[in-house]
Amino acid sequence: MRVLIVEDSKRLREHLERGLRRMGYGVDAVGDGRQGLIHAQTTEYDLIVLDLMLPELDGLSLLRAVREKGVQTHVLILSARDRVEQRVEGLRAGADDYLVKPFSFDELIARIEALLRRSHGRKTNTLEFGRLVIDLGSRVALVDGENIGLARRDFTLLEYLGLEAGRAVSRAEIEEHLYDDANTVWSNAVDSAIASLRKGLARHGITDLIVTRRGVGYMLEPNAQSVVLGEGDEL
Amino acid sequence: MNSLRSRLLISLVLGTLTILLLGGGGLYWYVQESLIGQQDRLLESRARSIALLVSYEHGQVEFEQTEDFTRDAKDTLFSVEDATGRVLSQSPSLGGQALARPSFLESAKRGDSENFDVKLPDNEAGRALSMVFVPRADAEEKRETQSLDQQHYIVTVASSVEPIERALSVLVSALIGIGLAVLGTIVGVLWVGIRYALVPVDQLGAALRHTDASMPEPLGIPTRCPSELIPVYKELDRLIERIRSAMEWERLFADATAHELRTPIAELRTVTEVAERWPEEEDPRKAVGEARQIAAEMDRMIESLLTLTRSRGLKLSSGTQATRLAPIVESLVKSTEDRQRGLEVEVKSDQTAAWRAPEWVAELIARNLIINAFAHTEAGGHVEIRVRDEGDGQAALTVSNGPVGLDPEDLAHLAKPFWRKDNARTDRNHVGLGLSVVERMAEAFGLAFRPTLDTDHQTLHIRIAPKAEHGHNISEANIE
Repeated sequence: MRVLIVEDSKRLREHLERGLRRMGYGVDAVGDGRQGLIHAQTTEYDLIVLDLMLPELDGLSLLRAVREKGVQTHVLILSARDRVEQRVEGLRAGADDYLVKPFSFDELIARIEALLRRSHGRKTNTLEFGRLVIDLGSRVALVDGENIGLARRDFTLLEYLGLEAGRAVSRAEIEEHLYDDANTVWSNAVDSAIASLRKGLARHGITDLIVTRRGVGYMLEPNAQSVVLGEGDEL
Repeated sequence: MNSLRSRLLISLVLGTLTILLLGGGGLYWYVQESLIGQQDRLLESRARSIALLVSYEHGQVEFEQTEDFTRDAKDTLFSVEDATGRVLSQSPSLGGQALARPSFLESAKRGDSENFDVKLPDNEAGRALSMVFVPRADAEEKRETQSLDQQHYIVTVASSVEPIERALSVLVSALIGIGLAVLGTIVGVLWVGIRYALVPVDQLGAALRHTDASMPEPLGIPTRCPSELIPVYKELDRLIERIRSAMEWERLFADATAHELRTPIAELRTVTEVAERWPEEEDPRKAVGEARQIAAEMDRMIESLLTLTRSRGLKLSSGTQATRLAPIVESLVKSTEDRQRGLEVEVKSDQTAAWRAPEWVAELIARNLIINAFAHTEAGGHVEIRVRDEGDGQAALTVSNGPVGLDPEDLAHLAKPFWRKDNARTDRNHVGLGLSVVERMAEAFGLAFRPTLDTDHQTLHIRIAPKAEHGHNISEANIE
């Protein structure tokens, strides 16, 4: 999942960026509205965390501009403006959620998760594929109820494929949703990430969950035998 | 009893009562004097009649009572005496008692008379007249008796004043009755009139009572408002406007303060919560250091806010000493070298120029202006600080700096709390309170805050100088 933070307070921006990275998100962070608009229009983000009082271009103008361009990315406004009319104005301008400063980091994460669930048409925080359960809140993958201890990057990849289960996603899409501007993406980065994830799943008997679609990309197969039947089961 | 209505009613009733008492008293006095004067004239006429009845007959003085006299004077008390007090004749009603003898008779001569109050034999109050006369004598008698002209006689007539007292008593009763009726009517009319006249005052009170204290609305002048209340309404509306603008300022200030404090609190929470959530990956010492730095920034902001708030209570007093600006400015420029960022800084100062303000106020104003100029001048720019004697030793401090990247419309916002031009927003060391503090302090000590921008919009001049008595700057020109 890739998130854009547009926040003029340098310290807040840096800590949000660090926190969200540790949560496994790809994060780009900018300090003014003009930079934010350029990023929002040129990169496909899963979520934009947007401050309102910004230099160069204020947050509401940025929001209206991206909506006018047809960008449908979920936007969470993070602002010190707390009055009802200000919140209403932000939501009416096209924001999906509004969080008033100061806020709890946990609440911010919960709201980000809720928005990401909504963007994939889900109501719960778990994805279940037979024996495999992906807990989006705790950010762990469980097989037969046991945490399989995936690395942060592997979990993020599994999460993205799980949210897009049944649809083949291209390498470019995976790159865009997993990696941010801070990471140099090598040409085989996605393939090696897939290989690492497959390895982690195979240790728990899940061997055919992620399939390769030649010329397209990768797909999480929700009805894969190894997750539907379980280890040692036969057809 | 302390209402306007009661006061008006009491004063008007007392005034009416005084007029009625004076009128009644005057009328009583006039009637009394008229009746007594009338009685005195009657007594005089009777005395003359009696005197005519006294005559010499063969050298003897005789008193001749006619039937007419007896009939007309039956209610009249009289006494005719000679100069020694020997009674020649007196009315039977006196019962042999003498009437009082007035003192003027000691030196009286023929024709003299005097009216006086007297006690009648039956102890009734009465009015009397004594008159000195010479009895009538024919020519023969006068020839025979040479000394007739020297022998004076005194006639005293008296009558009761009871009829006058009765008439006056009736008059008093009538006056009291009429007075009470008039007073009652006037009280009633005044009561109704005052109530009607004071209805607009009640309406004004009701309008003020129903005014929303949280954001009062101007009252407006009602239709049919009495002319005396129109200036009151206008003044109240002006006052309400001032209250509204003060409340609006307070609201915006509180809103801006809350807003400015929310961001550092958000930073503080995020720094600590991220460090707490990933203790193995985050350096706790770094998080604590950042938290301390945020706290210091918040402390600075609160200090500025407090200075701004306290400046409201400050006022220029006659005992305030003059403070020379040049040493303060020169010392400030030296102590802020680390903030000058390689800018070209020039100081020009008249050494004697001073402000009538405490030293700490002059220092606070100069410090904020100078630091603001250093902070908001673009790299490679210049800052000029000039202290100029405007006459009588009055100082004008002008700080000019550029380039600043301001637009002419920004000048109106410069002194607003928390206002910053966009490119200053990301710098939390400058929260936009410095120039607000300068303007407030200047205002409190009779100094005018006047920002101007060069036509090329590159150099900002902020000039602080004493206000002239009529509210304008002393010599507003001369900004170079």
